[in-house]
Amino acid sequence: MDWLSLADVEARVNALESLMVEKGLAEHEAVDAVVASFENDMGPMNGAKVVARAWTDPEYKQWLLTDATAAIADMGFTGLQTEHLVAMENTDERHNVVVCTLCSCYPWTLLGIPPAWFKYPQYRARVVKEPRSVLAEFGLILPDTVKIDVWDSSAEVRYLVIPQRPEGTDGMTADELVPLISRNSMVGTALASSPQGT
Amino acid sequence: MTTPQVELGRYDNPGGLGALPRSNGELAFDAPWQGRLFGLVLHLCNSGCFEWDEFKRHLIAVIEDSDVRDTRDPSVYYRQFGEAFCRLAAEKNFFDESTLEQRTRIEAQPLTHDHNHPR
Repeated sequence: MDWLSLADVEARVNALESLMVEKGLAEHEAVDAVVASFENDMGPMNGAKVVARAWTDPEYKQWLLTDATAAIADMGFTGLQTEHLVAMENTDERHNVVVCTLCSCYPWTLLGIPPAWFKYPQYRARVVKEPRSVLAEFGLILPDTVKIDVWDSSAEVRYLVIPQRPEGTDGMTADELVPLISRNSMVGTALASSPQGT
Repeated sequence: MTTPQVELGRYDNPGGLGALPRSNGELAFDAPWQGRLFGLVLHLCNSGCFEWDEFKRHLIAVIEDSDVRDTRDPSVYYRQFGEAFCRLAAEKNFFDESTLEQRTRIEAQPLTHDHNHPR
């Protein structure tokens, strides 16, 4: 088995993980936890810094919404699957959630290595058809008045969700806001945390 | 948002054959599958499926068997890492090669795109 000449190495790694899980020797969530533990600058912290700057700098937010690729490049985040980034802003009327129905395209230099659930066929198939139910399973229950838009990533376009800035954060600096911004909130399966930790 | 850090010392061989690719001291990956594979193998080792030294022997053998000894490139290193894990898996009878080939073909198939939504 020569991995150096393997064409679809991502599929091979997914196959390895699923076989080990089926055999009862591994758990997807445990792999997620190990990955999260060794991610450093490459983890979701980069995306959180972008969102925190957008929350505190209206001009930057406007730039992010009109040309996200250039706006993140201004913070040193370039290439490696963020070449064509689009940022979508959550509002009181509209919530955005991201999926990749075809494979697992993901702005990983901003958000780190994708969690197992992002690649689950169930998530990929269901979130486009019944997003409200899927988000509820993540613990995110949205009022019926909030419209949900689902954005399908591709090799050409990756999406970043700008979650709503939580109440009670007036006067906080960008650095203070970063810990409130989780990976899931930038995929759209969670809200940003409040300073009280909810 | 803090996550306990994995102590990487026991999994690394700084300066030696099989040393983890790093950039400014941090682990270096240039595609998500590399981190996922590394996380899977560490998880299995932590769960007691095998001893790290058993895996390391295979990793060093794969590197020595290949024509590529400079493993500072993550895309090369983690391919060798994956091959080493498959050799270990065969030794431990975790799965057979045909099962892995079949599952890989399934994983490579895209889902049907049969819906309308903003693109």
